[in-house]
Amino acid sequence: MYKLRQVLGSFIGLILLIFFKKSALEKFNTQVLSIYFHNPSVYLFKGIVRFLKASGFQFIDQKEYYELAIGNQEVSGRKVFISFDDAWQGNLKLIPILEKYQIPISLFVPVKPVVTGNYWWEYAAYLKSDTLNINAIEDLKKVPNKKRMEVIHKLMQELHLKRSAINLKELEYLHNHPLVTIGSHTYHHPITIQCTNDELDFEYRESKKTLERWLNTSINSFAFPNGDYDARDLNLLREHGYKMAFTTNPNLLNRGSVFEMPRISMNTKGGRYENICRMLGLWHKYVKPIQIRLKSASHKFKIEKQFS
Amino acid sequence: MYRFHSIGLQELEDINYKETYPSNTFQWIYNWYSVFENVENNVIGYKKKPYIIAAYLNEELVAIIPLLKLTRIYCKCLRLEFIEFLGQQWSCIGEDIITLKDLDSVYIEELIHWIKKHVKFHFIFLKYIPKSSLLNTKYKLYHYSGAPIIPVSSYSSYEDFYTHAYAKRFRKKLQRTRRKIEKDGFRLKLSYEEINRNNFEDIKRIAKSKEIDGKNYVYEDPNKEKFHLLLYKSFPSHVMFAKFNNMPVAYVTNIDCNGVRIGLDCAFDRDYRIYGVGVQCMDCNIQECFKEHKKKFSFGVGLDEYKFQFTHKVEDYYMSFDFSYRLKALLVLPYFLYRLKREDKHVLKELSKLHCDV
Repeated sequence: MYKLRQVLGSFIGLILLIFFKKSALEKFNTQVLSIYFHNPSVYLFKGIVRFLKASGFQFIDQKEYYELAIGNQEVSGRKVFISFDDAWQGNLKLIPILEKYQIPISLFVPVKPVVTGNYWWEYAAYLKSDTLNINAIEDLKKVPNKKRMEVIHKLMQELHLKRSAINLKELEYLHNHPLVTIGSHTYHHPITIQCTNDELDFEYRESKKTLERWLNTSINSFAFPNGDYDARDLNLLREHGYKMAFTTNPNLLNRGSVFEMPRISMNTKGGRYENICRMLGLWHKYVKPIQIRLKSASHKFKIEKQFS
Repeated sequence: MYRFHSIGLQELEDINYKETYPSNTFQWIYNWYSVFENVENNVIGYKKKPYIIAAYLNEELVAIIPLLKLTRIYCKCLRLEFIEFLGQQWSCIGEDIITLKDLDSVYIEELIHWIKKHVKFHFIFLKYIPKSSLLNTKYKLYHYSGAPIIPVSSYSSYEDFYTHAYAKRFRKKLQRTRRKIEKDGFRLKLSYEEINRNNFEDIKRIAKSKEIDGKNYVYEDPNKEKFHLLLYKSFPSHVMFAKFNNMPVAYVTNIDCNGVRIGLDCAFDRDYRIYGVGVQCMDCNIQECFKEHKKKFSFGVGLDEYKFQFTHKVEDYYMSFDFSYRLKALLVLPYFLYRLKREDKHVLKELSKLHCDV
């Protein structure tokens, strides 16, 4: 099913690219493209980088992106900013590609997985609870942070998973790499809108403090976990001395909004052409509306079937 | 013939006496009462009134008995009055009659007679007393708790202790977790510091992570926090921190009293559980006791399982019990007797399960 979806996505992507690639690329002559990955395969990442290189994009780092956002610099030519969320161990395999093409990246690191080795949703995948009415990762995202943590801690005591997040040695290696900039991605990677004020304050304060202590550097950037944020988050970012924050809004850069810098999500499970379409905004324009309609139709159908 | 009379806390301060347990020192008693005087609950007790009894023989002060009268409520309506040692209600590390001169067995008889005549109560519960206590001459002592200890002075060095006291499996665990810490890029640093405002914030942060395991932590309650802070001020106190890349992740707080080091509180950041930071920190705390040539290290009262990875020696504590011939006391007497015997059996079972040398 997953393979079929990937092939179908790539096919649709290819068709879209044949017809709209040229026009879609034009807007990036005056606007910066910002994309982010989680744990892409070497093949997918290489494919995206090659496409960007062939389309005349210049890779910029976080500092330059920030200068463009505050208006200290003007956009000249096609520019792309690449970032990674969560600090997966798989990201280390991409270092040779970064070095070959000289791609500066930002890596947003949640503290806890570096210590424990795994992300909370990896444990949540094993969750089977009839009493709590929480059976999936998506359900857990909707419950208050404290409750989610309780469920996860229980699972952590029962399960021993293979490390999938980078460890501190690897984080130090990445930090010392001239192409990598480290940013914060909270302490526990919670769903921030489900946190209490105290919990949220801890996430912003302690993640910055811990990363700074570990790496002996100052942490200036932040990426919202799961892309959720509200006014509370923006206030805390200012309070704790962050200079910029990255969202998951697939928009173009709006000057002056340094705490809501847009990024387009790359689908790690998707194919190369599908992701190129996402990057150029074609996927959101042509495929996403159809996907939403299909989803709501199938949901309606399910409900009708239930009641009949 | 002994003569008794009740004295105030101020008078106790003026008496120069040598106590067996830190909980018997004036500082401890004063701090405890100043913090918990107005705390009203069923554990600490309601309507508390201190009765510090001074015993004289031929006009010479021979003993002090720091007692507290308090009320507890059972089944929402049954109010019972208790006589207990002052401070035994929470955070006590040993209690006994403070003796200044040698006393004979008549002393306890006369003391109880005096209390029964001058103080109105239903029950006397004297807890955390050692087997050697004079109370043993009149009362049957029931097992109540224990404090695991390391007799530091009876080992020639830390290495001697490490090889003889730690199980092979535990030694392997310590080595394995140390290797894992290094492998994952953390630099474990141990620092032995005086407790101050800055590091107390770290202590509180780490202690709070106990909540993850469904445990309570001391600093959750402002009164308990205040009492601990007063203890750290009144006694020579230090904290041993285990730091990962300068970030404190585990601690043990100690106080020193008469050459004995007592571990008052310890915790580790639950996020770092896989690195065994708690045991690493405690192990280094023990090493520090050897460096400073302490007589003994006490883990504090409580038969927590983790303590028995480090030692199997326990100082056991007992409880003595008496009652007055009043209607309410006679009515609930069977229930209290049942509880005493159950506690006695439970502690004995725990001690035998943990293979302790009492």
